[in-house]
Amino acid sequence: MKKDQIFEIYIDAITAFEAGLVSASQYLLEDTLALAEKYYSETLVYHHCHISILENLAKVYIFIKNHEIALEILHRARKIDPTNMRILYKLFMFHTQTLPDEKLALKIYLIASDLYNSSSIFDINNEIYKLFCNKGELIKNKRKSYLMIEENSQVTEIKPQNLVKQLPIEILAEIFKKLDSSTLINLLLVCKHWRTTILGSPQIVGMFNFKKGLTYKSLVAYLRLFDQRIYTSEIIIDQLTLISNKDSLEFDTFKLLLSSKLQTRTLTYKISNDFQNQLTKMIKLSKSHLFNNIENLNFLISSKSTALGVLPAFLQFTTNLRKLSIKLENINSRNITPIIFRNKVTLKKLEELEIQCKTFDYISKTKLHLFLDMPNLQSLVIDTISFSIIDSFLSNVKELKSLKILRYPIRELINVFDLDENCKRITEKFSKLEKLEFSNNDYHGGNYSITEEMSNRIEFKSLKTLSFQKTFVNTKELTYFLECSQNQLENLFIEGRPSLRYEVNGVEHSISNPTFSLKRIIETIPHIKSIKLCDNKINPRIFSSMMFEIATLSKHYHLKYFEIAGEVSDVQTYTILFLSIKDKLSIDHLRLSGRPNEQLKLFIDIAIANGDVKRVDFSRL
Amino acid sequence: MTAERSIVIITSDNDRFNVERKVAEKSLLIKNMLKNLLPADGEEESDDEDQDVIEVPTQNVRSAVMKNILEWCEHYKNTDFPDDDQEDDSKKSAPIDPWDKNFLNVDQEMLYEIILAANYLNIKPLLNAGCKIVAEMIRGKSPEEIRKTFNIVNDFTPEEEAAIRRENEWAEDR
Repeated sequence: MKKDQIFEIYIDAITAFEAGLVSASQYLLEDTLALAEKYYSETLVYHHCHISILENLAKVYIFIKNHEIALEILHRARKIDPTNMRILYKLFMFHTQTLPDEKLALKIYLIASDLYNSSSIFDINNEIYKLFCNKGELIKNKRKSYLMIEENSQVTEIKPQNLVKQLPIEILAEIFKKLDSSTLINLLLVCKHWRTTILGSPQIVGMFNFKKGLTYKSLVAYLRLFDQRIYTSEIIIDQLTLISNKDSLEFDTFKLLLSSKLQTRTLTYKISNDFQNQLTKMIKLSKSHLFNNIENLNFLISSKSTALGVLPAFLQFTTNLRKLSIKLENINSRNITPIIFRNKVTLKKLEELEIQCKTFDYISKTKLHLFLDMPNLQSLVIDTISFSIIDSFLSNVKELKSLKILRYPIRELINVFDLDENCKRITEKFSKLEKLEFSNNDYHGGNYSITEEMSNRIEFKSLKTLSFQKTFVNTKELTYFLECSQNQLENLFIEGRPSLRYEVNGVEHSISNPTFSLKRIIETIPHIKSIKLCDNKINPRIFSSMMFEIATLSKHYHLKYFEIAGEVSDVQTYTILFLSIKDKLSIDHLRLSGRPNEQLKLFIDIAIANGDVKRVDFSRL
Repeated sequence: MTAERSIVIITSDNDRFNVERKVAEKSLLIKNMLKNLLPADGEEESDDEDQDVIEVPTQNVRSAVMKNILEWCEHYKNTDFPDDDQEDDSKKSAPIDPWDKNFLNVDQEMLYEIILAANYLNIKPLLNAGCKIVAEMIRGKSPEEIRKTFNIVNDFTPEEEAAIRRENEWAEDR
């Protein structure tokens, strides 16, 4: 792979130059130039980096003030490709800034503008030509007497039925946005004008997707296509997924990405390698803008990896990050490296954080302690059964509005809350929490008892929504959360596999042995508006008992949404509901399960006519 | 002032179109312009009392195109379009309204001019429909079919074309 070797050294050279290692860069460039020349003599085709190498070498010589050689190199590059606008521009800049000679500069400008007018290779959107034009026209006006070449005024006005020629770039971008990547690729093959227009617009180029993620091969091909043309502006693409089949190329892909002008709003990076030290160093050296534009970062770390250690380096530069997701798969504590933050990292704009740790090994807190400041974090999702992860991520949230906890046993979580010696701190911490969700949480056999004092210690001041999905929650735990939060609570959703004890005739509610009662919920939670209760254990007996209770409500209440589902196969049982809610409960939207029969439909119609319900529908169980 | 002042749109070729305010306001450009000229409904206005016709010049749109645009505005004059700022993906990929599709069944030259005018006059739903029509003309087509559709001569040499195909390999489904 001689071809790639040239490319690689070239990238190294640029990186070196940007890092201030000028002589190293010069050495590398001369090295790769020799290779590129050899490549030419062997294949009679210029390597695609050949001109870029010369161009950068000239830059190095200008930097070290060896102007003669710089100029000679630029002319060499021009000889290879006389139509290369970038080289012409470099020559022009050389004659205007490095060694000012307006006459020579003007000559170059006139060649460029001739080329521009006579050929379709360059496009009006070409940023370089625009720059060129502004400066060139100035000199041209100043030095009219130098004009030796007559102006080419015969620009023929062709008016073909050509989409690309008639519509401005913004509108074309709007149109192309509606197309898929594979059709966009076809546009590049239509004609030269379309090609240059499309490639000349970073806005459109950014729409190309890497369908199956970015591999080294695809990145090289992509850059070969675009980097040569769009030199002055950055390409921001929406999504980038970095993958690698061969481990050795993963590092190279990243290295190349850092040195390119390519940027992305969403970066998904699946790390499966052990080079976090190299990567960290490289990120710090590169001064790449890649990170600035990342708004969503998905970090996937899979088995055998010690790559978590690279996270600090990433987060240090992703200053515009809004959403961060970290997923650890099949990792056990033995081969995970601790994350080391030298300085505290502040992610000012971070709003959403998602942690997934599918491991049964407990990762110790010291290994995953995030030294992060996230002053604006609003949403946190934690999917884990590891105490240290729960503990370390819940310890540093201030503005949190939404919290979702998956898999971690509820009973144990209550204990985590209570473990905090100063419970006021928890109350303080969750004072803005509006939504608390549990999903797929496991049953925990541990023997933590919940005492009345515990719920008095904590308060979720702003909690509006409390939701349990496919979660093991018993009545005690539910009561705990209801008592901690009843002030503002509006929505209570329970579905899946709760383990609630219902009040059936004669069973008394007591603090030590609580039961679930709809009536109590409606009467004691002042702002409750929506209730969803889907539990297979609700049989006709429980259902009826619940409804008889509703009939004894102390006054009239209003609910926006009420859903109840269970093992109520006998649809007629529902008729009890309509009898019970009369004058006690009005419901905007009622959802039941099953399929209504004629008799039930009649009851529904009467209830709607009475104004007890506004709308009734049925979910399929 | 009690009577509605009539609005006259003047095109680039000096044709005059008398339009209802509701129709004209489908264009956000004109709507904003009128907002400045006619503050709020029912409010007393003293400055231009003698002038009972409001002239709206549109230098970028010729008469034949304006006629089409106004037909569209007339058709949708009672439709409220939701704020386009928060357009979601489902709306973006929604199929073209059959009436729009039929309305935009014009030659390409006119289609482009309508799109340009909709862009200039800031009529987002029309611009969006126009873009969708053009996108549909391109979608799923091979380069050769696209050339045919848009009447374009292939100016690549076979070698160049082969080279480009090779370049495109990064995007290929592997």
